[in-house]
Amino acid sequence: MNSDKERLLHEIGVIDFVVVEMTEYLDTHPTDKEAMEYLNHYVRMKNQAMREYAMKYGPLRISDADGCRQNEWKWATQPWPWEGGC
Amino acid sequence: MCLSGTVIVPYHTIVLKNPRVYERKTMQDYSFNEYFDRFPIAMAYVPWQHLTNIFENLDEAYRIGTIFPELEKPFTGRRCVK
Repeated sequence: MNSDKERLLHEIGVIDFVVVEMTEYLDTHPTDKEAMEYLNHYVRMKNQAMREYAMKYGPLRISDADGCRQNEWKWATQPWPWEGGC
Repeated sequence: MCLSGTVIVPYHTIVLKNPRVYERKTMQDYSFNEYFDRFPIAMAYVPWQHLTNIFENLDEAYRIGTIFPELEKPFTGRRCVK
């Protein structure tokens, strides 16, 4: 297994966890501006990491799937989760 | 229940006053020291969380299961002992 791939995937997991935590906090504190700033920061970071992962190893979500860039529909050709993909 | 120094805001106070009207209330709608004398006994209350900071080490937060230091409550498998 590619270690950079694993590292990036772990990073995405951690950042996404922060996003989920912040959204849950905001559910009960919807006017907390500081929390919104935290959220925006980590959402941007997550999108960036997701795009980087998609470019290198294939898309994790459909919105990062870009068939033109890699001359094939990686969404379908990369391993599915039950085949050892992510 | 320990009230000293603890911010406890009765989330459902509005509901108790008028059970037929559901009003969406958030933390900012309350001042913290109100309503203490109106708490019915034998009920459970959840203090509101206030954003202080988040863990600097997010890997650590991921492992712990929360990004909020004040919510780090490791389960020790023991009952509460005085």
